[in-house]
Amino acid sequence: MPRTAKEEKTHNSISDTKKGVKTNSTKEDSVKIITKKDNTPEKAVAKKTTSSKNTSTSKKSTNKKSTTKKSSTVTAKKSVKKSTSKTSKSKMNSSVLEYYDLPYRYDQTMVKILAQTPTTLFVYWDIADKDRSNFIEKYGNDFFNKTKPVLLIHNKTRHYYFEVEINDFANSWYLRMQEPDCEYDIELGRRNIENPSQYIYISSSNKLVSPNDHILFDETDFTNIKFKNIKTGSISYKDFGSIRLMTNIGNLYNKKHKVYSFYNNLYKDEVLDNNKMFSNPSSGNPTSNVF
Amino acid sequence: MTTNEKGYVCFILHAHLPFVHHPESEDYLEEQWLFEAISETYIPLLKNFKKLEDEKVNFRLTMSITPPLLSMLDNKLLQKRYIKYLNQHIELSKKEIIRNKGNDNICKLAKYYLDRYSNDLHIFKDIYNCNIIQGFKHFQDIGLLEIITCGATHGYFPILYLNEKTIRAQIAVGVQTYEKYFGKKPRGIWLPECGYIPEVDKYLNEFQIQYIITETHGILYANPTPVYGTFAPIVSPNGIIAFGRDIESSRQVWSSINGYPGDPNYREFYRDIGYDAPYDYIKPYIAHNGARVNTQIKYYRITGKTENKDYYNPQWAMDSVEKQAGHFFDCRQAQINYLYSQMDGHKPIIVCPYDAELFGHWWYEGPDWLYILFKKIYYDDCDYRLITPSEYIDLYPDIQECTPCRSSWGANGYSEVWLNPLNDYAHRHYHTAGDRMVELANLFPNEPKTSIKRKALNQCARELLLAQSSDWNFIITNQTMVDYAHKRIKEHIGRFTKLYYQIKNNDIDKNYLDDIMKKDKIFPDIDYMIYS
Repeated sequence: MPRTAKEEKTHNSISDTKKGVKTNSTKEDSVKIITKKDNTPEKAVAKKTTSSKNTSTSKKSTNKKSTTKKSSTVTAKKSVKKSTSKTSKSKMNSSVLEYYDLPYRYDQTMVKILAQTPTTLFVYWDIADKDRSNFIEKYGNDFFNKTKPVLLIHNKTRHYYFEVEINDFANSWYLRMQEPDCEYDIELGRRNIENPSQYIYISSSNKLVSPNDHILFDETDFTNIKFKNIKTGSISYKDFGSIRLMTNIGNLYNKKHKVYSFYNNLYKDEVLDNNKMFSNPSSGNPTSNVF
Repeated sequence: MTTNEKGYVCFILHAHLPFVHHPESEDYLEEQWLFEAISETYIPLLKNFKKLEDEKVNFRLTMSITPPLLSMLDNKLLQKRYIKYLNQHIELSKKEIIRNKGNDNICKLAKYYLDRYSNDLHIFKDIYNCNIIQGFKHFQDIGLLEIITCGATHGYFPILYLNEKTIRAQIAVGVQTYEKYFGKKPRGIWLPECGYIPEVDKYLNEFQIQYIITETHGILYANPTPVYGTFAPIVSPNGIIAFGRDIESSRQVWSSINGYPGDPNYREFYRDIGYDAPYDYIKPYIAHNGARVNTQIKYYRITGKTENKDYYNPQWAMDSVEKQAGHFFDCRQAQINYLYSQMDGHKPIIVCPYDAELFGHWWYEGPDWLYILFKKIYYDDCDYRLITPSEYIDLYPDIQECTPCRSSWGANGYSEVWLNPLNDYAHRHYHTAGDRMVELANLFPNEPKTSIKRKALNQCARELLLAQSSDWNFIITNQTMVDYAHKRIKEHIGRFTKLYYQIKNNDIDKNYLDDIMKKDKIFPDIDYMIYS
């Protein structure tokens, strides 16, 4: 279920507690939760219109499909989760009683991207209240009703843009990309629902390079391999066109150039466990899958 | 041993636990992570190193010992609590001998635990004066062990780097902590979770760190393609040398199907008297809230895929250790000979990195396996020897230049473990707190040494670093001690944010500051100006 607009506007600042706990008994609740609620619910937003999916900047219209939508309730749920059950008040000898909730938002206008995998980006964003007011002042009271939020994804390596429609209930999103090893930046903006050619810029993200996910065998010139002497700094170039390991690797590779096939071929007689190949080898009990 | 080797094996053990320190309560089970690791991993490793030293076995091992772990090992309160832990285990083992009179198998094992925990107490108190760091330092000083550092609190760089000053601070504090305990600069770093991004190179250079360890594809997917695969290091255009994990050898140790730790003779982790013994009897030794938990006193061996477990027999377990050390030894011999023949005279290095806690804690016999293996490599006939990364690069400074691939050693090789719908709520907090820390350092530079503002600013830096531990996100993904992990993120971000406002409003609550300084007592010499 999408988060309500009311929650969206809730600032849950850090609770401020100073009262001491002198005795072992549970003190009167000295926790003061400062919760500034702005009850003006965001009006419209409600349903996305199906109209005008095409835009002037959108190069690939299929990208909407590849967007992975994230459950936007995670944040809200987590912050109310109770702290560890092992705390025993009776043993507290501390003079300060603490209680915290994570700030729900920081009231900043920003958009950030991270790479989850070579082809999945994680994006999160927010618009500061001040900027919201500015937009309303500039474009009218129904600005947020008449526009929908969009992310403009710029693949700087392949030189194209495309646009993904998001919604006002979410504050983060996973985006599925077509290829690895590309540089991106993302713009957060709003597009007029009735007049899609009108686009309003809000914020730009950090730059991000997504990881590579295959062996760059075909892209490498093995006749001219650069070596550096890390003691002297001297550079030399060697020809590896005929080295046996490389020849073998070359013969062994199939089209995918993935590491699995490399090792499966290199160690033909061994049964390789592909699922385990990329797992952290030690972060759990080897006799089971439980940490 | 060989004098004319065809290749090298490089063992790297990554010793890490998140900083868990609760002076306010003794009820946190999470504190036992440290105690169990000391008794099952760190002391057994030290004991085996000592045996090798005494037997004049010239072995080589590399270990990263992370700053939070060093801080905990050096913490007086935790040292005291570890002694209490040992005394409780000694008491319980004695009771076990009485309770199990009539069952020779168990009685023998109870005596074995009594001996083992009594010996731990002796080693900890009498030999190391409650601080085992000096044990590891000794083996580094005599040239058998190479210790490297890690990020200050094991922060995962591919997520934190949106504010590069925060990864610079992770490295800076990692290096400072290392120097404090080991009296020199580290030559290598274990990037937390092997999380590599090229943006980190310049900061590694700044702190004169020469090498890193990456997951296999950190090397294989590098640009251009490394001609020797993971069997030689590569050097980044910025001069950082990267060693990649060898898949074959780590799979042998690790694989859940035919990996060594699953041997039927080895101790079964999941049969523990914490669960098996009568409730009223075991109650004083389990969780304070009465929940049954592991006591680490275990009487059974893995036996097989059955619920009916046989009694553990330490001698049989040692037989398996011998057999498996021999297997590993032979496999490396074959692997190195094959690779050497394919590499036109270049000598391959097989890099075998593992979590240190795998050895002993999860795989109870792991430290003994290392001991036997190292002895074999030294005395038996083979074409390779053990080496550290530093020794290797000193011997072979000509290294192919490639940019390592952005990667980690987490499931699927990238950032999914630390960034997924279960834990992605946390990242905006890490980033904002990081930005705010930089803002504070720039707003209030060089506060006088004794001022309360400086104290508060330094504590802000500690809270930020503690919030950034990759462990919290890892635990949430693994769904184990989830509540504790959420609590820690909330607490450190909460404390940071509260102090941030107090500093900016010039309204620092001294009692509050003193209280959280006691709780989050890590990095006493930190200087918040690392964020400026």
